[in-house]
Amino acid sequence: MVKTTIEVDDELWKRFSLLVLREKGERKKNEVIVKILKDYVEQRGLLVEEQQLEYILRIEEEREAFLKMRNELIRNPVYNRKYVAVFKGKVVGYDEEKERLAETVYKKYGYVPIYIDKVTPGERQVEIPSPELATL
Amino acid sequence: MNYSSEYSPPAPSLKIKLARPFSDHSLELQAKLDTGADMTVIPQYVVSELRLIPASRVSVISFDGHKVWRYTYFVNLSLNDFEYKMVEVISAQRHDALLGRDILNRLKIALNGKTLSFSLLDP
Repeated sequence: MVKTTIEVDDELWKRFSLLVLREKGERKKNEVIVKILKDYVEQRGLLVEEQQLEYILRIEEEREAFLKMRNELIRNPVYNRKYVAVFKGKVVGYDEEKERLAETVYKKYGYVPIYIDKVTPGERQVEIPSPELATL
Repeated sequence: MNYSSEYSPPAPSLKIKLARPFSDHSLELQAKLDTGADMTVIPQYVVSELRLIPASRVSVISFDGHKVWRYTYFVNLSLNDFEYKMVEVISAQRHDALLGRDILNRLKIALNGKTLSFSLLDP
């Protein structure tokens, strides 16, 4: 268990305390905060077992490398608007088709964390409007 | 094929098979056809069971404009006699899968709400 201290706006804390008191009764603020933290982590897919967390940490490192190179890749017509694969901090493949690129790089390097993304200025967005996924 | 009455109202749904790339490790589960979804969604437990490896991140916009980012995974997907290799999917806490337009747009789909039946063809 970790003990931590955070700074919160007075008014926000007052309103939060009032809501918790009204909905949960006294001395439940900790419980609500822990639940909010857990939901935050879960919604982002990080409430996973150790092996998955290991994969995620490795993919985040590759993503970091991709973001550092992104502007340079955008300026290069070979990569711009294409999918690239980043492994051990370097671009190890590119293709117009992400499926083909994934097949190629996994075949070459094994089924290991390799970051694959499109070379565009922003992040890729998808719409999943099913209301049941509101808490994705 | 018939709509599934496990949903209310009934929905077009079918059994699909998901497999870990370069492996025989696979599992079957129910998937609902979702023409509104840009991308196919799989349950989080499938990621664990097939030991899928994250490959990317996307920003997901839900029906109310709420935006969250999710990891994506490449998976081999088959349904009926159709097989799709290295489909990029996202995961969510749900019991079934959602077949998005990334897969549905490769097929000819006929929905008959009157008879609660549907067909899938690859013309």
